[in-house]
Amino acid sequence: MTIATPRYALSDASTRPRIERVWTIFAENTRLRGLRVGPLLLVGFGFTATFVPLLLSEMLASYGLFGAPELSTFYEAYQSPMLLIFAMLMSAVVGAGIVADDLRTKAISLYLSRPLTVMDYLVGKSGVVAVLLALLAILPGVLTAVIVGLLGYVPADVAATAALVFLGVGTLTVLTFTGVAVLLSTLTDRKSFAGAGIFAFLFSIEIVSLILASATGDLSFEYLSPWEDILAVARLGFQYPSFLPTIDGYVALTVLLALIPTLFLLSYVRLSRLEVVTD
Amino acid sequence: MNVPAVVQAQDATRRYHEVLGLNRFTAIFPPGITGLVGPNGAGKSTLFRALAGLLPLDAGTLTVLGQPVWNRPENNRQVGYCPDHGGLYGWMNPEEFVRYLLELDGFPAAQAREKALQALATVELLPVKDRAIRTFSKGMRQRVKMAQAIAHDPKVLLLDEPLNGTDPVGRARLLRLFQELAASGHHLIISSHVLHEVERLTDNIVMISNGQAIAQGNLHRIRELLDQHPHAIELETSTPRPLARILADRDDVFSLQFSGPDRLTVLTSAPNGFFDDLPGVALQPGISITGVRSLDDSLEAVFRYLSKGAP
Repeated sequence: MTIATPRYALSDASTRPRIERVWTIFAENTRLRGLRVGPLLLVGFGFTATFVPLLLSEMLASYGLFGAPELSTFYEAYQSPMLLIFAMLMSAVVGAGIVADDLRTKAISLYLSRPLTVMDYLVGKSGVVAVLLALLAILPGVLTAVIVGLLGYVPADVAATAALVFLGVGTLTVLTFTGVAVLLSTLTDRKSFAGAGIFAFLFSIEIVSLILASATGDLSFEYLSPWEDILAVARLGFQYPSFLPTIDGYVALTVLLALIPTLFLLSYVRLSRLEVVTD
Repeated sequence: MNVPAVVQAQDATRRYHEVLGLNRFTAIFPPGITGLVGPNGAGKSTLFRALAGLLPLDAGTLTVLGQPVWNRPENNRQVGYCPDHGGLYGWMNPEEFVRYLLELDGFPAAQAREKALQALATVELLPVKDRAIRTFSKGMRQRVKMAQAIAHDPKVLLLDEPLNGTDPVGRARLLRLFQELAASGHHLIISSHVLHEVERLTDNIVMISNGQAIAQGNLHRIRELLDQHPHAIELETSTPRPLARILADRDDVFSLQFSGPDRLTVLTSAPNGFFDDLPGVALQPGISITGVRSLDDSLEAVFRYLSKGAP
C-alpha cells in the first residue's frame, strides 16, 4: 500500500485578517453550541417569557390599564424574575462548556498553537455566550419598544428612548453574565462543575445580598449582587419611580463597569497562565 | 560542518511549581528529521508545548527557524503541532475539524476545505471523513491529529509521540509519511519512547532526561563515545559457571550476572576487544557458547547509559 503525499510547497500561509479568524471561532462555536435543543428551547421560552408580557403591558397601558404609556412602564421587563432566571440558565447551559470543554479535550492547545492570541480565543468564545444572552436580555425589550412605537401605542420619542435604554442595560446584563460564565468555565475542565458554579454563584449572590441587606437594614449589601445592580441601572434608565428605598443607579453602574472588565481580565489571566499538562 | 538550526534551545528552563519540566535544556535541532528521545516525564511534551508557543519559559531561550516562539502567534504559521494526548473535538468529523483549524490558521473557507481533504487523504482518512471522531480508534485519532498538523504546510512539524496507539500497518504508513515530508523539505521533530522507531527514521537524535539534553547528534557518534562506558553483552551458554570463571579474569570485565539458567550477562569496558577474544574463549575445553547478543544494540540501552551511567 502506498501513501499519496501531496507536494508541500512550503509557501507562506495566507494572511486572512485576525478579526476573521476570531469570527471563525465565534461562528463555529455558535453553530456547535447554539444550534442545539437546550439553548434553542431556552431562547424560545426566555424570549417569549420576556417579550409577550412586556408587549402586552405596554399595549394595555396605552388603554389606560397598568398606568400610562410612559418610559417607566418598560421597566416591567426587569421587574419580572423571568429575565434573571433565563439569563442564568442560558449562562449555565451554554457558558459552562465554552472553555471547560476545550480544557477537558485539551483542544485549547490546538487553538493556541495557531496564529491566535489568548485574547482572540477569549473574544471568539465569549461572543457565543454574549449573542445567545442578547437574544434574551436585549432583543425582547428593543423589539417591544420598536413595535409599540411603530404602532403608536407610545409616543415615538418614548419608544426610541426605551429602545436605547434596553440596549444599554441589556448590554450590561449580557456582559456581566457572559463574564461570570466564561470565568467560571476557565476554572475547571468539567462542564457540569462550571454550570453548577455559574448558576450557584449568580443565584446565591442574589439571595445572600438581599438577606444581608434585609437583616442589617443596610441596602449597600445589594451592590454585591450583579442582578440588583442591573435593576438599579434599569430603574435609572427607565426613570422608574420606586416607592421603597433602593440602591443608587449611578453607584450600581459604577460597580458593573468595574466588575465586567475584572471578570474578563481574570479569565484572560487564567487562560494566559494555563498549563495544559498532558503527561 | 555547520548546519543552520531549525530549533535552538539555550538553557531553556520551565518549572511546574516544584518540578522542573525543562532544566537548562540546551540543544540544536538540525534540518530534517530529529528524534527526541526520553522516557515518560523526561520533558519531551513540555519542550513541544514551549516550541508550539503554549508555554513561556522561566529562563533561557527557544527559537524556531531563528524566531522566538513565546507570544509570537504569527510565527505559529510555520509550525505544525501534533500533541500527545487529546486535542480533538469528538463530536466533529475529521473534515470539519481540520477545516476549522485551517480557518483559524487564516485560510479562506474554500481553500481550508480543499487543504483539509488533501491532508486527510495523506493520512488515509478520506473514506471516513464524515464519521464523528468520537467513533474512531486511537490510531485513527492519531492520524486526525497528524492531518491537522500537516494541513497548513508548516515548515516545522512537532510530533509528540505520533506513533502512540497506531497499529503496525498504520505505523508503517506514518513512518513513510514522515520520510516523505522530510524529503520534501520539511523539518520534523519526533518524540518517542518506542526507541527503535526513531532509529528507523533518523540517526539524528536528542536525548532528554529530567528536563536536560543528555546527548545530541548522530546516533553512531554517540555510540562511539559510549565505548568508554560499560557495555552489556549477553552470552547464551550451557556452561555459565565455567565461562564466568574464565571471564572474571579479564581486566575489562567488571561485572558478571547469571541472567538465566543458560544466560550470562557480561559488563565490559572494552567491547571491541571482548568480541575479538570471544572465539578463543569459546574454543576452550568445557566451554560452550551458543549465542551472543549485545544488549546495547538498541537506542534504549544507549539512553540508559547516558541517563543513569549503567544498564
